[in-house]
Amino acid sequence: MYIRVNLCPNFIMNNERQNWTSVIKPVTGWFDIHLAELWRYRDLIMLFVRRDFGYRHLHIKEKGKIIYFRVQYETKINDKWHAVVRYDTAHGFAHRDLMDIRGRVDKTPLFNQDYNDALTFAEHDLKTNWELYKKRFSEEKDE
Amino acid sequence: MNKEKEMIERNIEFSAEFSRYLFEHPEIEDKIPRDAEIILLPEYDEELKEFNLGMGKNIEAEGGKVVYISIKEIRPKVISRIERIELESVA
Repeated sequence: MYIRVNLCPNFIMNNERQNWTSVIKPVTGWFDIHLAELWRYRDLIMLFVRRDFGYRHLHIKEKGKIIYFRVQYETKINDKWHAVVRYDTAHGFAHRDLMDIRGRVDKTPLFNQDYNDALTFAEHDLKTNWELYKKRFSEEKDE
Repeated sequence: MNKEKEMIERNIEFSAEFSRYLFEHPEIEDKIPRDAEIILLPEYDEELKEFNLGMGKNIEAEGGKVVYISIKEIRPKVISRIERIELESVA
């Protein structure tokens, strides 16, 4: 998504639009991330919390500033990894996604929009609730 | 709290700490092969180090590629970032 700032009058003809002097490009939000870059960085880091419980990290920086991050906790069922809970800044806001085995996603916005604060929230939330999330996911599986 | 649960919760804490480290040290990303699994080995926490080493060896035994990251030191947790205050009595 691009927002153009037109410094010429609105009634200019199309062929005069090269007179636009500024293009403001928002730097937050899923759709503003270069897809090729995202593809390159997909599943950047996977580390283990337990044999069947893993942590995946992805972030993208632009000019030294983090413009997108995602951390995801996954569980392994029948040799396949499934995302259980994810915290990310896609769609332009920090939020938590709770997943189930059928691919349904329960999205909850986080009040803290700073990526580091969101990460701190994720850490505390997971430490408190990881068993609950895992159980919830498994129960969905048994339905 | 049983031992494994405690280890998992310590690893959750470390996973978030590792993310913070990556935010600040992007050069580390280039050293980690894309298809490798990461195992954190905190040198100052022998119990967690052994637990994680065991996981790593299991992954290796199954043919997985593992990168061991030894964490030499960690800063103490900060409750508040305020360094100094002054109180003024009004009564």
